[in-house]
Amino acid sequence: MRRRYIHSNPIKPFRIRNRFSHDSRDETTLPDVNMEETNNYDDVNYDYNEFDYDNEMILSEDDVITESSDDDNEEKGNDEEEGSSYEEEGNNYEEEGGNNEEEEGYNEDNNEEEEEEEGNNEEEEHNHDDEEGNNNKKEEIHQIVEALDEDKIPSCDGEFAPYFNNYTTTALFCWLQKHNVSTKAYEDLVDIIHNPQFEPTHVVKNIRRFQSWRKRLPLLPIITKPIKISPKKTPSTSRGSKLSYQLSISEIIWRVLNNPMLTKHMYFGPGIDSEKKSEFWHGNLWGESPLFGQHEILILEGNKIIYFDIIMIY
Amino acid sequence: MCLLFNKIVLYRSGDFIYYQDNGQKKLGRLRAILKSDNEYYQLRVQKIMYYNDLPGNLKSSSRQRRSTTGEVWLQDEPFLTIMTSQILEKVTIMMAFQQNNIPKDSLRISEIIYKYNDHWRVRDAKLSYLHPSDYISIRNPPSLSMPVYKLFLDLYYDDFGTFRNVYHSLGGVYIQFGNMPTHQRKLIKNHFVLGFIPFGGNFNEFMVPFVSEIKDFEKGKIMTVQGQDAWVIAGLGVVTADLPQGNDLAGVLRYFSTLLII
Repeated sequence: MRRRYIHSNPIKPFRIRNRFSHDSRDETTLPDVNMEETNNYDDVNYDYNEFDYDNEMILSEDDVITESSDDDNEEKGNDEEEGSSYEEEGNNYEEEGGNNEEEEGYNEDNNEEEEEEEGNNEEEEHNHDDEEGNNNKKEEIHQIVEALDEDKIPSCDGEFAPYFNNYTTTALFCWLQKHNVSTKAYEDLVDIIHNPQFEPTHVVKNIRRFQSWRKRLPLLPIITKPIKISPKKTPSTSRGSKLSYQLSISEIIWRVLNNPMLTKHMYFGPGIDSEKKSEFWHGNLWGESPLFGQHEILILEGNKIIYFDIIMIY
Repeated sequence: MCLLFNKIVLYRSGDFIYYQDNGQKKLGRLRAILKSDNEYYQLRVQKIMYYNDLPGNLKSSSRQRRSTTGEVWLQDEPFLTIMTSQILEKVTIMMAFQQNNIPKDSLRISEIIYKYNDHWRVRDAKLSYLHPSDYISIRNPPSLSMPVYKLFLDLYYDDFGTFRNVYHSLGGVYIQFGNMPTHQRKLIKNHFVLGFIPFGGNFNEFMVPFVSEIKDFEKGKIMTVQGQDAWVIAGLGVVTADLPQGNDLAGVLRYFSTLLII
């Protein structure tokens, strides 16, 4: 924790100082420093020291050489990252604490002469650290991606030996790596390719063709409509209305009624009087409303008796 | 000389009828035309009482006087189920709050009686539940041979998070068909998306196109269904929402809980 807190401090004065002393190098050094921000505190120190050293040496020389020396610095810095990561593991707190204090003092003073002196001191200390680091590095370092043992590399012949067996695996491997294809997407592709109907000659080369096929699909038309957004829930800067998208209910109804798989399950009859009520047609609304149930019935009004006299007309 | 004959009459739900019950001629209102489990028609009837049938605590001289000019009383639940053969004939009864000019001596209703805590009470008939036929009128199909499809729509509205725990949720509005049995309706393929409401969007405004389309469907519409013209009537039967949305729809302040509103 402490290291990280201090880490951000030494960078600024360091940058400023570089600007003062070597204007021509600003363009190359600054990005370096910024890159190092993500690294460890110790790395920054290293770079700083190396720059310092180089600056003294190269002050009078031309830009080409300074740039090349920058490259060297970068490489060195990268090398020493490992060293510093060792240091983290080594928990060499006391020494680091000392460094930090020195560093803080240096920050506050911001005096060029002191800087150079201290810089040299630090360089010595860091060289010392580095040696220690080199001693233990080989034992403690962790490889995240382990290299394959030489004896485990398969011995196969062919164009893609020894790593791949054939063109297909090689191409797919590169394709997966290049486009970062997800597992699910790859599994789907495998299913497509393994389908017996799959024919490589049928594969369309132009992806735009798919876009024209998409228009042929029986998709529902989408209506868009601007609707008001409540200002109570949204930031004051947001717009007062947004587009909403919806499907037309008559389209949905038409699709459903014309789908025999659905209509064969659907009930369009009158309400049903059932002891156990589980469906909407068991309910009151279905039974009573002319919108849903049967609302008319023909009834035989039985046994009406009408009395009348017979009028005989001759 | 006399002649015995049968007459076929069209009855609509909401009609007032005479029916016979235990040999007596009684008044009632036809509320629903149903089918029983064994495919017979059954009629659900709301009872209507003459003064003489009123419970004792409601009998009064003023009611008796009014009954002589044709007043009868509507009775609330429980409703009665009768067979079609028990129907005698139609009768015209006026609801006092619906018609202004009631002809003298015609039957009329101005009060409804109901049982509460085992006591008979009375209230104004305009406080009774309206029968759907009082406010819905549908057109008949242009041709009688045309098949009729009546659709019971269920609107479902719920907010969902768009991505992980992003605060701005999206309102999904879905349609289900009440004509499907429960086991079909619950399948995800039978939830039909109507649309999505942006965060904070106005629900009423969103629904305007849907409502205008449904109003057309309530009157009936010709559609080509599986190769032939059919008369399609669709109505919004149920709105389902959990509590936050349900309160929004009903205009109540929200509280976080879950409930089904039918």
